[in-house]
Amino acid sequence: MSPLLLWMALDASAQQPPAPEPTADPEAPLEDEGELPIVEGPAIVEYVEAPYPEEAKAQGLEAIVKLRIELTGEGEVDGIEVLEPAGHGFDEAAVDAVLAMTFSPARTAEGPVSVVFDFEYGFELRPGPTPPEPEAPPPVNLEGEVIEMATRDPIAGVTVVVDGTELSTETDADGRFELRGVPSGEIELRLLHTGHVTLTKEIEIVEGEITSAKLWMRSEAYRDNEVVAVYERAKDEVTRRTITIEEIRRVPGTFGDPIKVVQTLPGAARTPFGTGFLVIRGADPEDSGVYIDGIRVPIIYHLTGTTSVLSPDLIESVDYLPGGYGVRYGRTMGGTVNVNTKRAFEEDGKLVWGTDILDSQVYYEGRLGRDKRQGLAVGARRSYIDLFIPLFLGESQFVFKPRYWDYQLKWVPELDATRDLSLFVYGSDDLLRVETPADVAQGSDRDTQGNLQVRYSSHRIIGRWHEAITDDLELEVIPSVGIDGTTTGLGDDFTIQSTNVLPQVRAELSWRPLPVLEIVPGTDLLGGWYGFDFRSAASFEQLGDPLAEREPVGFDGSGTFWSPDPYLRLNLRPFEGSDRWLVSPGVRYNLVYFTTNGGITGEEEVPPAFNQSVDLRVLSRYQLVPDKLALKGATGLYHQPPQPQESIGVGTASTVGFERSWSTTLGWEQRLTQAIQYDVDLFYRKMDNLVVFDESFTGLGTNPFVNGGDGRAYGMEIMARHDPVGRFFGWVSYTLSRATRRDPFECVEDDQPENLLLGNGPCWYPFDFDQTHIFSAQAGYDLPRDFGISAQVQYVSGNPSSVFNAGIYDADSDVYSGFRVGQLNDDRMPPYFQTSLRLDRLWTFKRWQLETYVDLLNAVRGINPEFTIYNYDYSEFAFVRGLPFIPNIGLEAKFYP
Amino acid sequence: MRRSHDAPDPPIHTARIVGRAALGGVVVAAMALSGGCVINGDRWARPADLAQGWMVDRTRILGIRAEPAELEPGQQASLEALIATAPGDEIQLGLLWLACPEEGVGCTTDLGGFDLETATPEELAALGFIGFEPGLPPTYTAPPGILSELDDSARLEGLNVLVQLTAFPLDTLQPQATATEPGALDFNEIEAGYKRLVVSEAPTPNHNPALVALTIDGSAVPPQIEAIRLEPGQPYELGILLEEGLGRERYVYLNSGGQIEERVEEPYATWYTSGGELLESVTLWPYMESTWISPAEPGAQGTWYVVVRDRRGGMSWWRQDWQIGPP
Repeated sequence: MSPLLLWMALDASAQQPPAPEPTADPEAPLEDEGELPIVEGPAIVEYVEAPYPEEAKAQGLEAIVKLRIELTGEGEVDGIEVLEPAGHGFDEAAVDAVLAMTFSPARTAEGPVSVVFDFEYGFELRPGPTPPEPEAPPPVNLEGEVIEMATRDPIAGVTVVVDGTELSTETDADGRFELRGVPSGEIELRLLHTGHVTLTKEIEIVEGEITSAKLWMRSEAYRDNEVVAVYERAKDEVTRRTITIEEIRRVPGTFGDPIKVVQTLPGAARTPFGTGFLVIRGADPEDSGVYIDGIRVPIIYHLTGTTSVLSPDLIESVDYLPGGYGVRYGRTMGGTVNVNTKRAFEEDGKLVWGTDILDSQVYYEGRLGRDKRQGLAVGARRSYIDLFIPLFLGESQFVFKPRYWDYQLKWVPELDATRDLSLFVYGSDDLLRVETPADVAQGSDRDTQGNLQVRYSSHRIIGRWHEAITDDLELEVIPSVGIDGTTTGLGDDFTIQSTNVLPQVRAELSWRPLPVLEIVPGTDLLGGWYGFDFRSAASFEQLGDPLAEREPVGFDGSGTFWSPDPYLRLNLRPFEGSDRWLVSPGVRYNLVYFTTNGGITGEEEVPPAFNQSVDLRVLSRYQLVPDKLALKGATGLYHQPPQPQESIGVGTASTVGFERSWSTTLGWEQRLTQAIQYDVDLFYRKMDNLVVFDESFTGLGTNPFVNGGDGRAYGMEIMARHDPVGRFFGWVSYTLSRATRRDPFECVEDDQPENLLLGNGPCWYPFDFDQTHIFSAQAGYDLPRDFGISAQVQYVSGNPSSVFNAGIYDADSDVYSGFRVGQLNDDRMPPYFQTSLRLDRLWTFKRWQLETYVDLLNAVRGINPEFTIYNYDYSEFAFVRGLPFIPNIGLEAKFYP
Repeated sequence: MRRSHDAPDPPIHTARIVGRAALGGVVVAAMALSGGCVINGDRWARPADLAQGWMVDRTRILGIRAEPAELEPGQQASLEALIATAPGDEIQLGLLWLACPEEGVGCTTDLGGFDLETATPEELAALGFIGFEPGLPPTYTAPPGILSELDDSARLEGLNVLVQLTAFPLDTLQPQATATEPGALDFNEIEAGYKRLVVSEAPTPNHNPALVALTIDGSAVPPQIEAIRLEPGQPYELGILLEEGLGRERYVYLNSGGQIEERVEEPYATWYTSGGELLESVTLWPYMESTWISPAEPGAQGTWYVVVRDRRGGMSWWRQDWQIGPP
């Protein structure tokens, strides 16, 4: 916690009450109990004048009493300390007056916070003529209401001044004011308030009439008002990243999607455009878990990889845990991303419509009912790329038609202070379709012709019940049920369909018997039923032989999957329960029961697969200098069940077990100034029992996969950021890392001795996404007139690749077969580099706002290879390049009905 | 009396034009103008720069066929390859033919120190050697007992023998090149290919497709024309005519359920040219036409090749020279 020095210089005298507007020293740092900067200082709402001490008055003494005031987040004075006593009754009088005053609390972007500030109360004798007998006050002839534009919130504490007169007043909590004795005729009214643009308004005052005025003030920080999402330390986790939603949405290339920003954070490798993969700290894409409100979901991005499946306005925060996370999350060896949806909505409602080159979305949130206790959010989105592409390409060519839509509905009734309830329903549907004219051949195989179609749908209902049973005991239960469907089709002859029904329950009890001890037992149950159906014009063996006679094949299967996974975590806070030092050991029991019926073997039932393991993990975070410098570390085991397709033996019970990772993280975080902070993480991940293809697989009765692989990943991550204080924001992240794999079937002759620590040797090869350097920088600046400009720069080492040559011609199929030269992934593609820019402009009207923007994506870039392709005989190669220059124009309108 | 004074929209901004906003606009405009700026963009090939499979601009094996297309045990087949060279390329090729069972990675005969002139027929047969061109036309005789280990139904479908062809510049066999300059053999000049030769006891053995004529814009090219003259820069619809019956054979197939199915071949054509541009390189039955754009330069000459495969191991080809005349 850094010291707060908010100096409030107030003048007071018995003769002339001062204007009690506190002034904040812009140079003075603020301090609060959290981390976010104070955007609005405390203010006096109701000033109380101290009686002049008789003794001092008699002696003609004047004084300034310096006080230190502790103000709560509710604006209540929690303590007063006299820093420099003046004696003679001044101190007591000043303290009594402050205690009688009413303050508005200091505020950060997240809301009111408690603060400590210094305060000077002055006593000054001003001899003068004996005041005349008070006259009857003149009648009120000007009244008004001051409202913030767009949000339509009343503004309290606005100073209303009639220029050229001594008349002034302040608005009350409802934003209302009254003025007496305003001279008739045309007057100029000036409204002043911290955080709002000063408003000058000409008003006609008619003699004998009461004039009413409704005055609209513009906030200086509409962008800051949207700061609702933070990437921050999840409960009892050691990683800490904080980026506001407004920053994220202004980063060019994110398409305004908060979840996309994960791919700019340390530890996250760059993945090919359109894949939406999360490759974190050298782990495979399927090794990282994605959650929404604590419930595991299969995808978080639409299949185009450009946007997430949730409306950006519904997202409250995103927990990005690249490694070293606790036992709350499991069944993954890589990173974890948890998206938290909002639990509180705009009281008066908000309607948002946004559109860009990809899609259009609409979103509403508000509080309904007579007493506005029913929070409701509704959103929907639909892409229209599929509608536009044919217009540009025509119907005579291959037509790539991606299409997606999603919807969300969240209901949050307001119960009481100890209980929370919410119900969230969302779903998405993605279709990737490549249409081909009937007379255009896609290769020579007649059974792999026609339109290619991949469709994926996912729907979830997620409930949440949270209750603070006592002060020390809390219960959270999150039940969920989801249905996911996948269809892949090629022409009329080839289809794979799967349907999964997945109930999940996450329940967690938090009991704090002692201030230093918190006991958290919980369960993370994931189960379900799955079914699949496979139809093909030929078997895989027949498809591999150009002369084989083809016969249609088809089989279906079903099964169940149950994994209850109980866990227990202890949170130890040795410093009297404070967060100064947190040690969190935990244990998780992984259990998977997997059954299969049908499949390739027909109706024959395959024996169930059963796997179990125990994860032990410990995390610690120590604030060496509170709120300035923290040390952090974690180590533990992470077990991951094999993927569904790896869990099915061909006519036999699967023998594939858990993959395992031992992950260790050490690092520190430091806040250098109020706005600038950085953190450093060193990580090491040892993976074994990785599932690899078994080259001894011979077909029916054997397992195609085996736990035979190993992996290593290690490196350093640095992130430095400038909080959105003032006009500038930005962050820089850099990852230096190496990731390798060992496959017993990929060994080459190598004189180098095997190094198991670093992952070198004859059977080791670079991981597919081994990117030595990953650098990204994002920054934005608020220009005058509500313009904003932001930019992004990315540099990433090229992905490893394998070299092929020596194409041999198969005269029966007119296709060359290439042969790999050297070891797997022993070459590397050129690096990835891109610079993008964004210019936006916010227009604010009385009841709505309009933001327009231009994203210049990839304005300056490298060739940005995504894949290597070879010519027909493997004698030449080229890189499939990344996205070209894309000028993306979009707009978003927010209505406040 | 009350007087309502609902203020109209206040000015959103001060009217002062701020230079930094304009500066931001200038920066954005500059970036927009630089859109498409690719660092080192010309250093690496683009996918569109890669050699097209339909373009004959180097020595290529375009097809390998046996006659008859499907053998019975003990029957002999002659083999032939369609090899195309780039226009003006006078290279003399040597063709080495091998045959072996279709197992593993193919024929792995070690020809180091092998002398064609002194080797005995037994030695040649043990190596899988079935021919060398020029000089020894390739033939393959299926061993009489080749199907003996198969059951009756499997014999109907038979098995495949792998015929492997290696084409290389003939001058690399000169003594001074092989003995004193072992590095003179450039492996990039070697073309290697293979085909599966079906040996079976099928009641309806396969035949190579019978081609009748090449067509241009629907008209058959007269057989006496050596090089057809065409206009520059024009699209032409090339087609291949199959002989009725022998173009698409009917045959029977014993499926895995033990039932006999009568099937009809569905051939496809692959198209090549040594000049101009082909818009379709593969066409599937019933679409047996491809659009060709002739070169724009008068005087250009070249060759079309079309190979028709019946998906059962049979194939036939047609070649036609062309010359671009003045428009």
